[in-house]
Amino acid sequence: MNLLSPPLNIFLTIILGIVLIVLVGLKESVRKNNYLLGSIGAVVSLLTLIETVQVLQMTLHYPITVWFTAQSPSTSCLIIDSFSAIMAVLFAFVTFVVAIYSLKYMEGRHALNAYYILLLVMLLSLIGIVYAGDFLTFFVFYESLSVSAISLVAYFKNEEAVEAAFKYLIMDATGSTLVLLGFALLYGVAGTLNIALATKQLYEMGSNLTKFFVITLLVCGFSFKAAIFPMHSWLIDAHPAAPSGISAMLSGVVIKSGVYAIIRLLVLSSGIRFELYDLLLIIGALTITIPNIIALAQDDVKRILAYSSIYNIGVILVGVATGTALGIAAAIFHMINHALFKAMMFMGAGIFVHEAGSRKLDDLSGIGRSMPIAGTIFGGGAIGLMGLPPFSTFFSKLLIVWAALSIDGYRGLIIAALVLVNSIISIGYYGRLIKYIIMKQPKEKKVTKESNYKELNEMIAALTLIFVAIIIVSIYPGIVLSYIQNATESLLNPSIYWAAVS
Amino acid sequence: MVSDMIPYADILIWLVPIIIAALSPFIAKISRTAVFALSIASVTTSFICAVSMIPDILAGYATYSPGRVLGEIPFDHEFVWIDLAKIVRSSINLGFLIDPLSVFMANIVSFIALWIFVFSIYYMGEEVDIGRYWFWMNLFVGSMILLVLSNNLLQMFISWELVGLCSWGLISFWYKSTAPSPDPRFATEGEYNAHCGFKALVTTGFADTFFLVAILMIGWVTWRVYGAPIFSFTRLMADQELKWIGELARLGLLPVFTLFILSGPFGKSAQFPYHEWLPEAMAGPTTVSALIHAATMVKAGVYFVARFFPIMLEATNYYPQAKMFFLIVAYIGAFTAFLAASQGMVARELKKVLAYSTISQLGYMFLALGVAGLIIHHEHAYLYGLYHLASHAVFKALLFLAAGAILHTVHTKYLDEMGGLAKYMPITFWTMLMGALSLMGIPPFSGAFSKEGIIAASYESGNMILFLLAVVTVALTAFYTIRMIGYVFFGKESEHVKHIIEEHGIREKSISMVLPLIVLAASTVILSILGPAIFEFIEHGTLSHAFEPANILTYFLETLSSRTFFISGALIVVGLVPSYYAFVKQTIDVKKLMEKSIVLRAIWKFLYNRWYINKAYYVIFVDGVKGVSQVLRRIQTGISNVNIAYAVAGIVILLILVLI
Amino acid sequence: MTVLPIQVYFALCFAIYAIGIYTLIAKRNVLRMILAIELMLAAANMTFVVVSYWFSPGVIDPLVRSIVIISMAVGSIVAALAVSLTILVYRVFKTRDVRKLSKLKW
Repeated sequence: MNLLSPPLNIFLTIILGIVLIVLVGLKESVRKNNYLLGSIGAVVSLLTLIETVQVLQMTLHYPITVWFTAQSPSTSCLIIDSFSAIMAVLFAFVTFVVAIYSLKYMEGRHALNAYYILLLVMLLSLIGIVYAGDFLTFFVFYESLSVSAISLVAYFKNEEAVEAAFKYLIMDATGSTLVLLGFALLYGVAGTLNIALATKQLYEMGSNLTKFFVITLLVCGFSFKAAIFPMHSWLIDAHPAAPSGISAMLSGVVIKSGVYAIIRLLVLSSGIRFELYDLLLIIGALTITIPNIIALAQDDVKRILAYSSIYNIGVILVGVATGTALGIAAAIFHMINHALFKAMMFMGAGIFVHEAGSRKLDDLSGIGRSMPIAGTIFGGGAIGLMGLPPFSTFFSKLLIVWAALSIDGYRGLIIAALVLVNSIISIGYYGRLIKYIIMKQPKEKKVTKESNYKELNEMIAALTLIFVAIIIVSIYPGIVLSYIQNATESLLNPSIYWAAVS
Repeated sequence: MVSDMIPYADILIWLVPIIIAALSPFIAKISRTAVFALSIASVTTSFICAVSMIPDILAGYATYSPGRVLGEIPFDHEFVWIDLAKIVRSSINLGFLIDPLSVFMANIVSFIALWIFVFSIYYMGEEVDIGRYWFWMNLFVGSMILLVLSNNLLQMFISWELVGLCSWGLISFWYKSTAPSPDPRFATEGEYNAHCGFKALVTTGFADTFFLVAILMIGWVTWRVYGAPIFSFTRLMADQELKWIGELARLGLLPVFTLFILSGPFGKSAQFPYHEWLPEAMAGPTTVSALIHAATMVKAGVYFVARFFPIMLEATNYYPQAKMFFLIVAYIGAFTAFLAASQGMVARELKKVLAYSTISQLGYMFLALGVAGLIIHHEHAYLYGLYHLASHAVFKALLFLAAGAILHTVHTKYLDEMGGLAKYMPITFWTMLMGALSLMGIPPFSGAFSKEGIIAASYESGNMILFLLAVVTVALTAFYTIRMIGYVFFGKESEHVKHIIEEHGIREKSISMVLPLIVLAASTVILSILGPAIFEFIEHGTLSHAFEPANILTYFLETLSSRTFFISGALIVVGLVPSYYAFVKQTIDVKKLMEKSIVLRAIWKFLYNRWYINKAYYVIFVDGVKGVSQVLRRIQTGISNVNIAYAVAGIVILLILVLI
Repeated sequence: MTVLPIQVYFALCFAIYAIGIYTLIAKRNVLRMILAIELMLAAANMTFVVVSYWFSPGVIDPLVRSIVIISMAVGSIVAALAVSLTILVYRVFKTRDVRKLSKLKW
């Protein structure tokens, strides 16, 4: 177990980064220096990105297993297959962009070293979650993700942030306890907590009531983190209250980790068609419709984006719930697309809010006009999230609808129609966003174009970076899709995954 | 196979405009002339590529006849774009189908786009956001050509949505305008324009959802029947018996499928019930209205029905249920033609009259295509439908551009603020008159022959409702056209016009605006001679007999001496005469007539309010959904206890469901 | 040998968990809510112990031992965060009533 070889060098890099920030931050004056701390954060996440891509190349067909001590069913380990590797690359990329964004956004704010440390801890936990090979490791990283995310939500220490963080805490902790309870029962049912072995046991149990119970309990526990209706209420408050870079990460990647857990558990333990998928379809349908309609009535830009995140998680869930190879591939593709787009939108919204000092749409009227690059990119992101070509979200939604239609009977048609009609409803509120931010008349007291433009450059650079990534994926989705196909294969032929531990 | 067309013409034809589109915003910042020149160059390239494809068809590389399954495979050039081979045993391909229908459409699109771009040189000459304008316009031309050249349904749908996106961008182009809004719900005209753009986007998007479901149903059912999903047009027709339609019929899904797959064309081509977005779309610049909403994008729906036509026609041989496709198309087409024409009679704005007229004429095209499936000589109606597509594209673009010239000169869009412009803008007057005569269906303009063919076909179908709707609409068309001409060019100048005359004087402004008008007016006459050529080209892929004078002469005489021509001629007079006296000679005082007759006023109110359909849509869809939204948002109370309560309730319910 | 059949122990764990959930729904004091979360965590740990007993009565399963210890450590971290957040809530809102923390609604 060589510490310097991937994947362990990822953990090493991040931990070294954290230690560095702690040491550097010991000095009072350095703590105020956003650029120094931010660049350490950015460099560390860049290195992580490179390393996770390395791991991705390594896991194309067979998962990698890294044991912490002796090889046995009760030891902690890391099991990395294509699915985990893709997710890790995504997480590292978004963190990198957020770190660049924070170089400017966090200027002059308090507790900067804590911010960057927590950001790196979030990255560490996220990667730990997807790389984990047994549920204990998973749980440890899951909790550390919660801790760092909640702390970052409370960053601003004003009424709104504290309230949001508290609610996030309550719901998330409830979810974690439910998850732990589920793991206990899982251990009782399967005799081991190793992900591969446990799911193999579950798979071989066939259709068993206890198995359904345990899996449902676990899925419910994970849905607290993944913000699936009806456990979504924390997200609406938490995302707006956090600093914009953190909102981007929360909406983009943290909730995806919950979905990752659900996918990993369900697909590996149940194979393709399974009774629970119908339940997932119902929950997915509710998650899609209700928040979408509520979003129409909002007038706070980040809240609209938060509701939209829940909607997209619902779409991903429906993709998984179809239980077909196409559905799962489409769901993973949509996870990646949505993460990129939503991170971009939150960062863009952050730029506008930074300018206007308020999150209400009325106060943001016309602000996109004084910042053309940010405005255009934000508008492009909104068009993409509406599900219109030429952006990749169109394709992922298309594939999910296609997968939905392959379900027998009228259920497939209903779900497909639901996804599409909600796409149209989302045009309603994204249209409002575009209308207010770009098309309306600006209020009188707006800043002049030149003065602030130069100062916002790092934020716009981050935005442009994600936009370029999106364009690349949109024009040639094949880049991502080949990895996704590997991931789907690895998920649906669980014997490869199981073989990793024998 | 050696082909005569320019190498890679089928890729360049759409790629060049798209690349120029991407570059436009940046070039515009550097030099305005450069961006104008590049855009004109790109659309000319497209036109040249389109024309270069004609010799290929003539050389016999492709046939795609209505009513007959393909003999030879058309030139079908395909790349794999998104390879989903491991998942669905198929891939989303990028393919180009070069056959008479697509080449025909490509030529129309690029030809009209070329002259509209030329017109834009002056019309948008002072526009500040010219980079954005050219971005959307070039992207539109690229996507539209991509649409007509697509060889498979998925690619067509992708470009369909792209075209819709460009339409949104262009309708709401002037969102920055601070002029007072014509609609009391909005603060400024800019907001009104933005709203119109969204209305178009949402309406066509809504229609397109059903369209997408139908396309995916095709993929799904072909997967069941053939083992792999098929989206390519040629391969869908390869099976003589069309077993996939049989499978749909067997599952009882054929009616649903027909409705859904027609939803897309109806949405894009503004037919009932999706017709409400087109009148609002007039908020955009007139060049946009001409290009998108008269000549090209709205034709995409007709193109799709024409493309799908042979498949459904074959299907009726085996599965009589498939006939429903044609019935729906024909009835909706005829009804919409009537509906829109009736609304055009009372429109207050110049462009709105033309918008209603477009919807109405598109109805004629659908009527033709629908009837074609119901009568024996289906080629006859099919070809006339496509001929009307071409001739309408030309004369409607002409009318819109002339309207644009007028709007630019007179600075108002309301008909009652114009008047007496004939003596100040003679070229515009004569060209617009030619367009109007073509629209009404008066020979020797092409509109006459194309419309005649459609009416004759509807008569031949034996379906009297269709025939009646078609001919009554002829009268209505004559009425509103002459009304429009009368308001604009005849009579006394209004106060507004007098004001403008005092300030700048009114004259033809620029060669860039006048030249396209002349070219298009000439085209509408030439097109009538080209009729037989078009017929032969689309049907057989040859042009050998097309230009023989004897052929052309017989064609003319046949049309002019048919029974239906007399009927429709009579109806033209019926519509024309009162309108002429009311609006051109202005001997009948319309206002007094309205005041005296309650019936006339009631009819006017009904028509002016667009049969109240628009209001109904707003109440149901917009206010309804917003109302639901306000109700639903209350579930998000801020109280933590309640949040957990929901979650727990949800979990308990789930667990119970699982355990059952 | 268990004093009661094993199902009772499982039921006990669930009951404690349910008490935790009830507290979260019905009580207003923020500290009680934190305690409720800790209670639920404890119930989950208890379930592990019961499962270990079920597998091998009398002998402690080493895996379960490490799981429980690690999970208690993690629980304490969460508790630390929760308590500090509660202190922050009190400082900012000046109240211990969670029903008053409803500024963000709808």
